[in-house]
Amino acid sequence: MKKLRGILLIDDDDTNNFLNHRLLTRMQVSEKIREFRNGKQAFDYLYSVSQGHYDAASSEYFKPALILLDINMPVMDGFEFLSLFEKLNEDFRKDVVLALLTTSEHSQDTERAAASKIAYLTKPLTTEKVQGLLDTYFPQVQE
Amino acid sequence: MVLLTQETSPTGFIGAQAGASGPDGLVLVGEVLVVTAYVLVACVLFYLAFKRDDRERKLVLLLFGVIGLMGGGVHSLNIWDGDGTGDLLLVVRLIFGVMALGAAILLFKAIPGLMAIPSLRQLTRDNSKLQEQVQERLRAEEALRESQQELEQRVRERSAQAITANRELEREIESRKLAEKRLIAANYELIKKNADLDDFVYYASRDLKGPVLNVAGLVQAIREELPTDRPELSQLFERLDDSVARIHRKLNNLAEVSRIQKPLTREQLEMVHFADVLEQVKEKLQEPLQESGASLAANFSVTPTVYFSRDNLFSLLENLISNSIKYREPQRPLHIFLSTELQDRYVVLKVQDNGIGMDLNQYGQQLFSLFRRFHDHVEGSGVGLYIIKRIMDNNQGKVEVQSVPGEGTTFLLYFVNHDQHTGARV
Repeated sequence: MKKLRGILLIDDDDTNNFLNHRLLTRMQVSEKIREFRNGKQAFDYLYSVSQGHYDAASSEYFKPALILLDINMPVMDGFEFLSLFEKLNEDFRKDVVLALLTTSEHSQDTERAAASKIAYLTKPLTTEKVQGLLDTYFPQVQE
Repeated sequence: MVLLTQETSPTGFIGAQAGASGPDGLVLVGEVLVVTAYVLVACVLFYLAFKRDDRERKLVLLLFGVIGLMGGGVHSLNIWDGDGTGDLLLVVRLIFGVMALGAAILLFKAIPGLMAIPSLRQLTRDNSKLQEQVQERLRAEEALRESQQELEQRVRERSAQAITANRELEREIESRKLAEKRLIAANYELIKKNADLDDFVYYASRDLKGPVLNVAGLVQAIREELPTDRPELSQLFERLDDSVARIHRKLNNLAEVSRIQKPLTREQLEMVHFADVLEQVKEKLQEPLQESGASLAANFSVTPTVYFSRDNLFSLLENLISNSIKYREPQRPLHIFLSTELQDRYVVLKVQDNGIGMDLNQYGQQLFSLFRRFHDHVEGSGVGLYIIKRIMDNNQGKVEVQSVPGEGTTFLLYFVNHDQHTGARV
């Protein structure tokens, strides 16, 4: 099975990042997974990558194929991150899939996530949910 | 009358004197005295006539005066002409006599007028009567004035009372206004606190959810890391899973409760078809519906739609149907029947089941309270009916329950009827 180029996990909840990291590793979706504690850190990272300001040899820096984004975070929340992300280079963005992770089924967040027209998943992340995401957005990876 | 007789007798006397001849000095003295008396009387009468201001008496006095003067004149002629001869004197005497007689005749004519003149006694009587009347009138006036004063006094007292009452009323109004203001402020405070509480519940439930999900995830991770040949551990994990799931469900319920507290905006209201929402609910409750073997029938032909929030109607139907499933009678297959009807200004949704029912006398009061549960044989959250009540209250509707223990329960939801097209209240 072909693996994803790389995955970013953006969530202020360390344990959640840990669990999602573990799940994705066990599913062998990607070799490269990075965690960020809030939207700003993640955006700064992405900006550097999009501008090519990084050491190409370092495995720490990569362009992700999938970003799992929590909504409620300190410093910069998921929606703020989204609006900044949309200002990035179109070419850079076109092969990056964003998915929102929300805690509740019934909340204002769900409505906003639905309105933003990008994928959103409810926590907890499960094998089935990840598989669904891969089926929808990365059909070429499956073979 | 007295004067008249006096007057006639001297005339006769004069006539007699005229007939006598050769009187002496004594006679002359008598004549002089008589003339003097006549003239004096006449003078007095004329004076009186001059002084009197009533015409009737003036005339009479004048006439008497003329008679007296005439009498005096005749007697003075007697003195003048002692012999009683001479034609001229005779003529004068005759003229005087005629004038006196004329005056006497005129006096006769004046009799009715004189008779009409009231006597002094009568006048006095009349006068005193008049005075009495005047007194009477004065007394009446006095009484009138007194009663008027009394009236004025009363009016003054009354207006004073009215003013006092008015002031009291004004004070009362002021204090009520103040109380109303305080009430509004208190109410505002309460609304704010309620909103704060809703926010608190919402954020608490949302923020607690993450850690709970983490615990669930970590439990799963531990289970995966452990060897699978430990049955005593798997029992522990089952209990752990169950507990975590319960916390998770409670938090979801709390989030749901805080969500429905939030007031609706106009955009959220639309004409919703009962049948559409029921289909969605059936889809969501597919599993429990199948497990319970419930048969669900509906007839919305009378009023197929209601002007409401689709989301809220979904919550209502979901809660009512899962309530029926939870409290079904295990001895017989569950039938749930939904229907609508129009009642006055309400669209009424009826959800009827043949479940275990309940004693409303015992539980009716607390039926819609938050976290109140009356059964322990099924898993319930104690928020379903509360949510139903809150949704109906928030939308000016109401909920009614009919139930017979052992036979079933019927929930009646009253929605405010709105015009199909304008959305205005009917």
